Amino acid sequence: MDRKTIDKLTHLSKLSIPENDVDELIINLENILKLIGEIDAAPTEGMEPMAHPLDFNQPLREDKPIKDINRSENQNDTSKTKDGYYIVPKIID
Amino acid sequence: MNFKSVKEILTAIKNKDVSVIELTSNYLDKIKERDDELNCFITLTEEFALDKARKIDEEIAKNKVRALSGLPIAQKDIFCTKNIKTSCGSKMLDNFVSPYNATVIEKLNNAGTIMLGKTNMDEFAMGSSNETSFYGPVKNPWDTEYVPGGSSGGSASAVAARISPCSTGTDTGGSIRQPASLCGICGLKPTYGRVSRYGMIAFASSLDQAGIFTTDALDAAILLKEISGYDEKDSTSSSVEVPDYHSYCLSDTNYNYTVGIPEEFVKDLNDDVKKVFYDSVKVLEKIGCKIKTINLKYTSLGVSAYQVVAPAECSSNLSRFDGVRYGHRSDNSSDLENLYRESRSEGFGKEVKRRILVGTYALSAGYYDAYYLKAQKVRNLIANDFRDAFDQVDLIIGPTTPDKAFKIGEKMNDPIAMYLSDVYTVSTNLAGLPAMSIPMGFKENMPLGLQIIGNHFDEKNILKISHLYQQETDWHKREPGK
Repeated sequence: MDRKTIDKLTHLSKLSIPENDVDELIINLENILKLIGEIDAAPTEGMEPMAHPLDFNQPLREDKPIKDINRSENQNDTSKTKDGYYIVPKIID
Repeated sequence: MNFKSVKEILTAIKNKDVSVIELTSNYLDKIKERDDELNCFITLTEEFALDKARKIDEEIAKNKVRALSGLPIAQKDIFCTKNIKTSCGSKMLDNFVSPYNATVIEKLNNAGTIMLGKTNMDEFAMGSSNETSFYGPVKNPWDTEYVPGGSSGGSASAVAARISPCSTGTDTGGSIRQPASLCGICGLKPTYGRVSRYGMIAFASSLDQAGIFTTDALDAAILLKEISGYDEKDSTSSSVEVPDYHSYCLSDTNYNYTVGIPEEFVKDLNDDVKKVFYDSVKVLEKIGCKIKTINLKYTSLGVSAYQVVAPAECSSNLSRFDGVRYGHRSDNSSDLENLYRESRSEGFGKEVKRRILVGTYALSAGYYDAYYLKAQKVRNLIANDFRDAFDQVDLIIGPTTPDKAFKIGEKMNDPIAMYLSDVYTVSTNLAGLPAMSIPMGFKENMPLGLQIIGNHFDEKNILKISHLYQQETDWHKREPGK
């Protein structure tokens, strides 16, 4: 774990870390990686990965339209919306 | 007005011994008296509560009584509540008012409960002490210098302090059971999929489960029935039938349980906790349980696997918080990329950022196989451990936590120490099993909890054995300061 890795991770996760906090963060993350590195020695040959603890199947429903999403209820913060769109800084110069 | 249980409250309301408005006002007064000190609540929903109380009183006057008519309840601030702020303990959602109710909220509202307020919690459910909340730490009512546990610390502290008769919580790695243990109350995490997660702000979607805090097992049985069941809005909710847990607890079925104690859960205990635990084992033997030593040999890998899976899933779930559609939006953004980065950096606290970064690392190119895929295989190892164990025993027990509550601030600068305090709880989430913590005694005047783990969808036997235990002991009746 070094600054280059932190830069990559913060870029991927859209976060910024104050310069003063980076050294402490590196130490914390190194310790966490040591902890999670204990799984390296686990005997998992031939083991399937378990994404979910129970054997669920995706339930399906009829391919029919259902209740509309209420746009005005969901966009109740009017300062960020106009005519149903979300207002953001200019994307294209 | 001093009701000792949910059952007592429901009976008194049904018999018109107390009006709902009187009862609700009484609890609201208790909250106002204690909450400056304890900080259990982020939002007190006084008007909402009194308004609903009046409506329920009108129904009762016409002899219309619902399953939980008039029962005051505190709701963890992770559940979306329509037209009421839902903050998830974070600056990111400090301004968020949900346009809809979570299914858990809807079910409890429809059953007639009165929401007293939204309880404080570790930010986005990430924590084991309720110290990461944007709204400040919650205090343990047994000693306010100590943490109540987390992430559902506000919900646990409120019930322990008797300023709410019951509350909801969520449990991803122990966040109901651990605070229940540290606060001396009952906390139940159902089987993954037993309770709908619709409207419950996601932390780790394959681990999260909603549950409840009460002062005794019978109360938990009453509430579990009302929140359980298939929900078409949650594709991971189960259609396994919901039994009448309360009737089962009281039934004459004298089930002689074979109860397993994993060696791995007791070998590192300190002497004080060991003594309290083995005293509780004697009580179980007295009520007819057969005790057997078993092994859950991959227990030691639970925290490591959990600290890959949970951060990985959280890094994905929290990517929705981008400052565009809801939640905190930075004023300092010159372009869209900047808007995302500054909104997220300003909105999230240290622990949340740490976990997002760990999760991003575990899922990134070159590391996915070594970390995330490996952790998912370890998860299978742990689940197999439990499968083998349940071939030999009906239930598994151990202490919920390695020790009593710690002091506020004691572990904040040591994330590893904080993570390791979940060693007995995380495996249950990885395997999707139900488990409950019930009070089992004290160490240095601070409560300790007994964890009872059951097989998938076997909440009824967890509740029954807890009820039988509570007929022989009075730990669950002890109150702070009395």
